[in-house]
Parts: sequence; structure tokens; C-alpha cells
Amino acid sequence: MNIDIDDILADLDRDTTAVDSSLISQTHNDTTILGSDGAETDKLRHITNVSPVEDFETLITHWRNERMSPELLPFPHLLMQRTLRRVQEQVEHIEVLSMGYLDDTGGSADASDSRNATLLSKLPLLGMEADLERLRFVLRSFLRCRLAKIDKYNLYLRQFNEEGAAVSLDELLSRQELEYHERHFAILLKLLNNSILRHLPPELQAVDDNDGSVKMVEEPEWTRFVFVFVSGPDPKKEQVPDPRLLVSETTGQQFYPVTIQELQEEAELAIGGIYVMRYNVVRELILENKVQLI
Amino acid sequence: MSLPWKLQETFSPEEIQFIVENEPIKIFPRFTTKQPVRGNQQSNSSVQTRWKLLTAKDEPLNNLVAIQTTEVALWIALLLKQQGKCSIVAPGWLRLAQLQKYIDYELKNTGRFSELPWNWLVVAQLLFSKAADDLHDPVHLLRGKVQDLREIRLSKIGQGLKHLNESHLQLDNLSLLEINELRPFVLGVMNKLKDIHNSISEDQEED
Amino acid sequence: MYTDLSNKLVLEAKRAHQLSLSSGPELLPMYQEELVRNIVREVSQLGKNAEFLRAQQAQSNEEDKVARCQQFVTLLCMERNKRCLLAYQKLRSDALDTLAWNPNGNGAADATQRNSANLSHHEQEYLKDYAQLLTEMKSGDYTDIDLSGSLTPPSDVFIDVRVLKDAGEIQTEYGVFNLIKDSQFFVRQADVERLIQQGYLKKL
Repeated sequence: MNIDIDDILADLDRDTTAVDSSLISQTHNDTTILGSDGAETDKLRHITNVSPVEDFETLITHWRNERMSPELLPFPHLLMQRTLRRVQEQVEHIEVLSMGYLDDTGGSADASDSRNATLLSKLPLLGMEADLERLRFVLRSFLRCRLAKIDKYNLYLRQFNEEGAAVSLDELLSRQELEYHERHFAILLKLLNNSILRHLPPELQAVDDNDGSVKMVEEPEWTRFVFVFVSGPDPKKEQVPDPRLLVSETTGQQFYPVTIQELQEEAELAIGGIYVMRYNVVRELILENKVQLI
Repeated sequence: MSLPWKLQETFSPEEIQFIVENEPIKIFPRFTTKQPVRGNQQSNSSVQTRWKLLTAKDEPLNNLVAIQTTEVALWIALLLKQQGKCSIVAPGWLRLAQLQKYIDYELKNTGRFSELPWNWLVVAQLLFSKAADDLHDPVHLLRGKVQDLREIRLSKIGQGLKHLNESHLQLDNLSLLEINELRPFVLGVMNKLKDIHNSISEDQEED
Repeated sequence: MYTDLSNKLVLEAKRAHQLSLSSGPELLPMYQEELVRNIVREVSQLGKNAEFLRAQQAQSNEEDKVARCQQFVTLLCMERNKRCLLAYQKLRSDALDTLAWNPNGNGAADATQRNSANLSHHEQEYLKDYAQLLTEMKSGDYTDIDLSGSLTPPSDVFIDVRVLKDAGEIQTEYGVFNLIKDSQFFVRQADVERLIQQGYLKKL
């Protein structure tokens, strides 16, 4: 018996969301269907107490931030783990359901009454297919966007650990991304070596030469302008007021004070506002999810 | 490239629509999925497949009662609508009178945008093409008003371009689609201005 | 003049890039083997010049500003040539990456076939290696996502279609449809994409 507190909380959470009425009907019908639904409950148990919809909303934020930010953002390891597992379970779930339909509706598609009934009974399945397609799309677009950045910054990322960064490379990237980064760099280097570098004099053979007149290691454009929306702290997750938030004396609005270093200028990011800002000015607030890229 | 050029540093219009489609909207379902709490198990349980979704709330869909409004994600509303299984409750701002008020506001306040929802343009376009019969007013008139509103806001943006600078910009109440259309131009100009500013100040330091 | 050849190579790369932006990365222009070889030769010639200038300066005791300047410019030319060569090859390898990700047809295998005449030997090898890497990426944890699938958001996963020509029975996950002229069906778009293209069905 699993008595992990998270699992118990997950059970509570589930009671109010996914399988509500089937659990209710169980209590009225104490013996018959417990067996089959019990398996379903076990399957759900290892998902922690974040609902699929909450996770999807977070994923959308990550996707949008990643698409619009000049740098590669930290990989959301746990979120992705949960989401990929749900996708897999849903694929299986839909497979089982649609097999049932194949047996069900083989011949009788003509009479309009039964057709209507067929459609109604199929609707949830149609919805679930579309839902799964949508989730797959976001995951695909998110991962491919990250791979494009991993390629763009391959040299920069290779030096990442040396530069005393706040996050280590294996936290910034997923396991698959680390491997992709390693291997793609290796075959690219092989190509460059074979077709160019090894034909050059020894002193010109380095691929990550930053000492010459032009830097060869491409860094993210930290000061590039981006569109941001200032959401402020998430009231669901943070009870303590954010100490950095100030209140404007003229408008009474809450805002984050920020500094545009290069211009030595102060600016205010009012909650609910939309701004065009330099990325480096809002970077911290983005990583803390107080500000989103749009 | 694992991500095509045209998707780098911007979204496609289809992606903007996708983002908006996840927002909730009210519907009148034309069928019932809510199961009676007790009894009648045998006849129901064999027919009804329950909704189980990953990107949107599924409990409203498993508790539909015909002609009782409920809220679902826009893409689900459109799916049900396509099948003739619901009508969509058009949002309050999507009426002729209300749109006229926004137009008046836009004309009167040259320095501000009216507080339309961030997804107004996409929602209007989707409902025009897929749920025209659920709108409060005739669709061709609504289309005209939305077009007017869009053009007024666009020309205002055009007027405001002289405010582009190398520091920052506040653009409250612009919708996501409008931002996406402006993005290449605004960011392009501001990045250039920034570069010019940088090279000027470097020169001054050298002097 | 030194680095003229490199300029030619970069212009060529830029033209190819522009072409792929407007018409898609279906075909890569011919690899400029001759040009690349000549630039490499120029670099080694410049290298010898630089070596000579260095030796000359070491011999003479006086500070010869002209010779030093000459040596510096020679080094800059070498560096610029290297940069142009790498940029050219990188742009092409980026285009090969795009080909390998292309969801149409058989991706990499297809691309290799159609382009093999225009690719250098090393590029063919690169494309093969990269395609192999992608195949491995796509399996495992990402099997259910179809990483190389469409990057356009799904819309209208299901559509109503009318049958224009008799097409017999098709089998889908949602059962068997008998496609008789003028009948209508509600089907998954992905299942009938080909039949629409072939003119059997019409999207309503």
C-alpha cells in the first residue's frame, strides 16, 4: 500500500476532477465495478497532484517564452515527464475506446436516428483525439524550437559549464537534448574538419576561436527587444506578497521597477501592462514567471 | 534547421489562433451527458463514453444538461457547433452597439487603445466563419464594424510609430494578433535604434 | 586580390540562402568544390608569405613598420578566408538539417537521393549521420509525439466530406466507410487527405 502524502493528495484532487461521478456511482454500487476502476485509479496514482489542465497551461507559457526568447531557457523536467506520461496513457486509452467502436458500428450507419446516437456516443472520442493532437503539437513545436536553439548556440553551450553559470548544462537541457547536442556537434565538427579545417595551417584549425578579430562563438542577443506581458505573481501559488512590487503614487497601480543598464534608465512594469523591453531587463522576471513573453 | 525560418522569433497566424482557441467560452449544449446519481446504470454505462481531456477541463463535458449554459474551451465549442450539438453564446462585446462604443472610444482617445479583450480579433473571426447564426446581430454588419475598429486601431498604431525609441515602449490593450502583426516592424526598428545609440555612445566615450 | 575568391563563395552562399527562403529547401545548389580548393590553396600561400615576413623581421634588427603591417594584413586575409569557408559550409549544413527534418516524403533518404549529385562526399556523409541521429531522437520517449510531424497547429481534426467518385471501402479507426458517390461522411482529416487530393472526396 502506497501511503505517500502526494499520492493521497492526488486522490483528493482527482475526486474533484477527472473521474468524479464514476467514483460516486461506485459508492452506490459497492461490489460490481470496483475491480475494473481500481486498475484505472492505480494507473493515475503516480501522477502527482497537478491537474492535466494546469500542466497544459504551464506548458503553453513555457512554449511561448521559448519561442520568443533569444536564449535557451531551462528545461521543465518534471512538467515534461508528467506530460509525456499522460500522452502515452491517453494514446492507449483512445486505442482501447476506438476498438470498441469498430465492433459496435460496423453496419448500421444509415438510419438517421441511429446515426445521431452513433455521433453522440462518438463525440467524446472525437474530442479526445483532437485534444491529444493539440497537446502533441505544442510538445513538438516546443521541443523543435529548443533543438533549433541548441544548434544555434552549440559552441556557446559547450563552454557553458566553464563560465560559472547559475544552472548546469544538464539542468538546462533534457537527457535527450544533451545527447543531441553532443552528437550533432560531433558530426558537424567532422564535416567542418574534413572539408575545411584540416586543410588549413595548424594555427587556423580551431572552430571556437574567440581570439581573432571576429568572435566565432555566437552568444544569445541579450539586449534584443521582446514583447512582454506583466502578469505579476500567480495568486494561486504565492500567498506572500512579492517584496519587489511597488505601488505607483500617481496611479495606485502595482509595478516592478526595472533598470535598463545600457542607458542607465529606470522603468516601471505595471501589472497587466504590455511592453516592448530589452530581454536582459526582464530576464529575471521571466525566469520567475512574473512576466511572460508574448 | 529543426524550426523553419518563418517560425523563428515570431508566431504564425495559425499559432495565434491556436492559443486563443484554448480560452473558455459559454455554450448551450443540445444534449445531456450528466448521469443520474442513482439507478439506471445498465442502460447508460454501456453507451456513454466519458470525456477525458489533457488540455481542457473535461468535467463540464461529462455533466452537460441540454439547454443549460456551461463553459468549455473554444475549440471544443467549435467542434460541438460543427456537429450541431450546441449553440455558442457570443461574448457581450461582439454586438453592433458595443462595437460602436469601442470605435467611439478609439476615435476620442488618440493616445490609448480601448480595453478590448486580448483575443477579440481572433474570436470575432472564428465566430463569424463558424457560428454566424449564434451572433446577436447580422454577421455582415458585425464584420463591417470589426473591420472599422481594426482599421482605426491600425492607423493609430501608424501614428504612434514616431514614438519608437531605443529604450522601451508601453502598448497596453493591444491584442495578441495585433502584436504579432506589428512584431517584425516594431522590433526591427527598435533594435536598429538601439544599435545606432550604442555606436554613438561608444564614439563619445572614445572622444 | 586576396580574399576575392572568398567573396565569390559568400555571394554564392547568400544567393542559395535567398533561394531556399523563397522556394523552400528542396534543392541545394552544387557544392563549389573548385572554389573551396582554390581558397584553401590561397590560405596556404598566404601562410607561407606570413612565415617569410616573420623570418625576414627576425633577421633584421631594425623595427620595420611596413613589414610588420604587411604581415598583419596577411594574417587578417587568412582569417577572413577561413571565416568565409566555414560560413559557406555551415549554411549548407543548416540546409541539410532542414532537409532531414522535412516531413514530406521519406525525409533524409529522399533528400539524399535527389541532392546527391550536388553534395560533396563529406556532406553526404553528414546528412546520413544527422538523419540517423534524428531517427533515434524520434523514437524512445518521443515516439508518441512524432517529432518530425507538422508544425502547423491542428485545426479541424475531423471534417465533413462528400464523395465525388465511387471509391470503394476504406478502413479507419472509426470503422469502415463505403464511399458511394454523393454520400456524406464525417471523418478524420488525416485519414482521407490523400483521397481529397486525388479528387475522390470534397471537403465541405
